[in-house]
Amino acid sequence: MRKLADLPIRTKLTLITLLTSTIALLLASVIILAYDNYAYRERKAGEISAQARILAARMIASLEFNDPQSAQEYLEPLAANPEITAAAVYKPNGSLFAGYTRPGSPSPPASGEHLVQHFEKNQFIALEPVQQGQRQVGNVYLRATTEPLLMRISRYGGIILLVTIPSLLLTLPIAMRLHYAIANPVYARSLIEASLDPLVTISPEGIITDVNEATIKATGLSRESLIGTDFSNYFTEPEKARASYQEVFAQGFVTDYPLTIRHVNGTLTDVLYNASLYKDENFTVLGVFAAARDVTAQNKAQEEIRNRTNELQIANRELEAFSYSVSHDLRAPLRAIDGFSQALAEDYADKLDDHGKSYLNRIRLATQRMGHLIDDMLTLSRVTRSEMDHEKVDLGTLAAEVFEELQRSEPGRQVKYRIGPDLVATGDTRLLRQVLVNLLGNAWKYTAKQPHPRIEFDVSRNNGTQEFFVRDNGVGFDMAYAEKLFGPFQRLHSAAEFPGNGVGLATVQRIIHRHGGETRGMGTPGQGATFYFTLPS
Amino acid sequence: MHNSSLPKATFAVASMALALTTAYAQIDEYAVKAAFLYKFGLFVEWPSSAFASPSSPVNLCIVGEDPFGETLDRVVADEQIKGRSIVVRRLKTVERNPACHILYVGGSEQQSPAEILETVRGSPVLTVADAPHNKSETAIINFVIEDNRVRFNIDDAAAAQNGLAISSKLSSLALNVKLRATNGDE
Repeated sequence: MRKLADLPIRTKLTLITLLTSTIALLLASVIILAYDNYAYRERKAGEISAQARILAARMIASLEFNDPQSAQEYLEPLAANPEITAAAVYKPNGSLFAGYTRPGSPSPPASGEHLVQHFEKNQFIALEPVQQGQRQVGNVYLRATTEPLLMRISRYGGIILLVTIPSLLLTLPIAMRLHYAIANPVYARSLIEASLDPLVTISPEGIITDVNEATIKATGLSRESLIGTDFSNYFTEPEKARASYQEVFAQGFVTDYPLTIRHVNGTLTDVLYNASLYKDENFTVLGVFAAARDVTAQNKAQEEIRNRTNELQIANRELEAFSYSVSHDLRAPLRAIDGFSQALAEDYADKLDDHGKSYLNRIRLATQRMGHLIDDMLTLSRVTRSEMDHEKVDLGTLAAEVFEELQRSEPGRQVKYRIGPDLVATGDTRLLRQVLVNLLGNAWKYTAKQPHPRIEFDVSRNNGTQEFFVRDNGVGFDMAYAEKLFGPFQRLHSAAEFPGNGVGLATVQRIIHRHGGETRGMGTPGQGATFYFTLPS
Repeated sequence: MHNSSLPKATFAVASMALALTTAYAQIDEYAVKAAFLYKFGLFVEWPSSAFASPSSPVNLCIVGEDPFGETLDRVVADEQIKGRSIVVRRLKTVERNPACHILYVGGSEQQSPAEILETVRGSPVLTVADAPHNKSETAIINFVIEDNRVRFNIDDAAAAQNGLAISSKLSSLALNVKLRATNGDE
C-alpha cells in the first residue's frame, strides 16, 4: 500500500481507469460467457432430446414385441455420434432392455427407475418415454458429453484478449489525456517538492501541517512523523523558534531569521528563515508558510575569512616588526662605514692620491644613500605600526612649512608655488605632514630641470568628497607605468637623473590607506604630473 | 457390475436380458404369442370399410383350436388398438369377409388352416398363424421359434392382397419379410 501511495497521482488515475476498464471488460466477458454457456446447454439439451425422441419412436415395436436385439440394432448407429457416450432402453418396470456404451465410457445405469433428465458434470442425460398411444411401453436413456466450461473459456480467452487489449490500448491515451486536466493541481505540489529549501506550513498553534522533501532531509524524519508535531521541536533553540512564528503572526512575516535545525543523527544545519502568513480565498489566516535557507556553508566561509584575515594581520605585524629591527640594526654598521671613511679622508688625505679620494667619496655617498633608504624604510614601517590620532589638520599650513624647508635646503632654486585655501582634513598630523613632505618633495625634485618650475597644492570637491592634489610641471611620467607608481622601490627615473629610492610614494599610499582614502597619479612625459589623494573631511 | 465401464459388462447385461426373455418364452410360449397377437394390430392399417363405425371394436378371432385359453382374454382385457377396444371371438370356422380384424389360424378338422386362409384371402383380415407345415399355408404373419424366442415372418404381399398396410416398425422386427409386388420398398 505504501508503494501505491508513493506513485504520482497521474499514474494512479491511469491505473484506476485501466483497472476499471479491465474489470468492465472482464465482467462483460463473464456475462457473455455465461450466456453462451447457457445457450450452448439449451442447444445441446434440445439436440440430444430430439435424438432420444427419435430413438423412442423407433423403440415402440421393439418393446412391444420384446425384441431387444432390434433395439440393440437401433442403438449401435449411435457410435457415429462421438458426443453420445451411452444409451439405453428400459422397460416400464425399469429393467434394462438394450444398452449401448461408447468404448472408454461408463455403462448406462442398470435400472431405468428414478432417472431424470439433467445436466451433470460436462454431460447431459436425456430421458424420453416410449409411448404407444396413451400407454408408456418403456424409456430411452441418452447420455452425451458437453464441452467442458473450462475448454469453452480457454477458447473464448483468445477472443477476450483480442477484444480487451485493443480496448485498453484505446483507453490508455484517452485516460492520460483526461488525467492531465485532473492532475494539473498537482503542479503546485511538485513545485513545493522541487524546492531545495526546507518548506514547512505551521498552524496558528505552532503545529506542522505540511512539509516538503527538503524538510524530511534536513530533519531525517518522515513526513508522517513531522506532520502534527510542534514546529519548535526540531531546533537547537526551541524558544527562539517559537518566537519566530509568533513574530510572523504579529508582523505578517519574518526574513533571515537565524535558527539551527537539528537532524535526528545530531547534525546541525544553520538556516535563515523567511516566513509569512498564508490565507485561504476568504483571506482567513490558515497558518505560516516558512522557507529555510541553509547557510551552514556561508557561515563556515565567513568564519574562514575571519580566521585568515586574523592570521594575515598577525603575519604582517611580525613582518613589519622584523623589517623595523633589521633597518634599525643596519644603521650602526653603516654609521661605522661612513664615520671611518670620513676619518680616512680627513686624517690620511695626504697619503691618498686623487683616485683614492674619489673612491672614498663614492663610499661615503653610497652609505649616505643607504642611510636615507633605511630612514625611509623605518618611516614606512612606522607609518603602519604607529598609533594614529584623529584630529583636524590644516594641510595648507603644513604645506607652507614644507615649502619653507625645501627652499632652505636649496636656497638657489626659484620655484613658484601656490597653496589653495581651506585645505582642512581629519587625520594624524605627523603622518599627513609626511605625505606632504613626500609629494611636495617629489614635485620639487622632478621640476629641477624645468626653467620655470611651478607647484600647486589644492583640493577638488565632488559630491561631498574632497580630493587633494599636488601638481607640478616637471618631467612627468608615462601613464603606462601608472600602476607601478605606488609600489615600494619602484622607480621610473634613474637615481643618476633624479636621486631617490622609490619608497616615498609607497609611504604616501600606506598613510592615505590608513586614513581610509585612495591615491592615484596622472602624468604626461615632459609636461608634469599630478598626484591625488582623498581624505575623509 | 452395472455401473462398470467395461464393454464386457455391457454385453453381460445385454445377454442377461436376452436369457430372461428366452426363459420366459420357454415357460409360456403362448402367453407371449397372445400378447403379440393383439399388438400386431397396433402396427396395421385396416381399410375404413373394415369397421362399422369409428368406435367399433377390433375383433380378434381364434378359428379352430385355441392354444391361448384365458390368457388371451386376460392380456387384451384393458388394451385398446388406436382407441378401439378389443373383442375376442372364438370361432369353429370362418366365411368370406368374416367379422374379424385379426384372425389366428388354429385350424380344425372342420376347416384346415389352408382352407381358412383361402377363405379369407382378399378380406381385410390380418391372418396370424404358427409356423406353417407347408408353404401354401402361410398367413400374413407367421410365428417362428428361433433360439427359443418367439419371432415372426411377414408376408407383405399377402397383406396387400387383403388391403392392409403394415407399419415398417413392425416389418423391421420380422425375421423375413415377403415384399408386396407393386411397391416393393420394404
